[in-house]
Amino acid sequence: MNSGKANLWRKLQTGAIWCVAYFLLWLILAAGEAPWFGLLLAVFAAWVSVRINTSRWFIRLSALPAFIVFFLVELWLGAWDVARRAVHPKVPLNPAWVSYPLKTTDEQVRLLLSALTGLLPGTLASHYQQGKLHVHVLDQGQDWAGVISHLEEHLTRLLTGGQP
Amino acid sequence: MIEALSILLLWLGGAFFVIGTVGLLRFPDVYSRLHALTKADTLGLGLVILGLSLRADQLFTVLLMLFIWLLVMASSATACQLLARYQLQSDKDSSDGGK
Repeated sequence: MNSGKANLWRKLQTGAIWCVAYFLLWLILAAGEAPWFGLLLAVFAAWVSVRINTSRWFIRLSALPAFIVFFLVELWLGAWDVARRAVHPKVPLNPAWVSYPLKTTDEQVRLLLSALTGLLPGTLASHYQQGKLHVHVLDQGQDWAGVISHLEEHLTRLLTGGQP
Repeated sequence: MIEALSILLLWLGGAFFVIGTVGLLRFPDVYSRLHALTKADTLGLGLVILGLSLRADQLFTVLLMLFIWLLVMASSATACQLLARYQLQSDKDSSDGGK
């Protein structure tokens, strides 16, 4: 009974923090217009955040610049690569489903890795299961594993401060 | 000089949007098409925002646009993954049903 109450209290606290954050986001993006509508959305978004149990993130700021540079370079290379294939007369593709053995066991790193893989050159993740990331690659001949492995290292350094 | 750079970036960004759409039309399957849209559009929007930032007269406007880019990137990375997952599941279901 007591622990249930403490749990509820913690959820309310987390929800309140999310609510304030979302409301600020609304005020900035909508330049202060329609605050009541924004508040309504913020409450709803906070409820969803508490429901899916997103924990607050730890970020190692010293690892951030290297991550941003790596990510922007790969984003550019990825878009360039896909653009080249799209306008090439023969549309050179050699797509396949492959699986990448995850080195990290950290849930947040895995989640973010799975989402961001879609922005790297030639790779796109659908989900991970039993320590393996399921990835669709545009060209089997490309070094897709190396790129994902680099992103994994960067994210691990950024979110946990250690090595994968 | 800044004006010219800004125009160049805006055109380049627009070109990536167009090429992403070309990929969407020309690539053979759903997954490859997702590659084209997600990557080309994310970079395209980034270049457009960079081009507009050069013309902005307030730092706040620049930060706001960067923020919008981050939000769009987060939602497109997530949506792309969910679409791939959904398509994979329905491919699996239809091949199971065919047996």
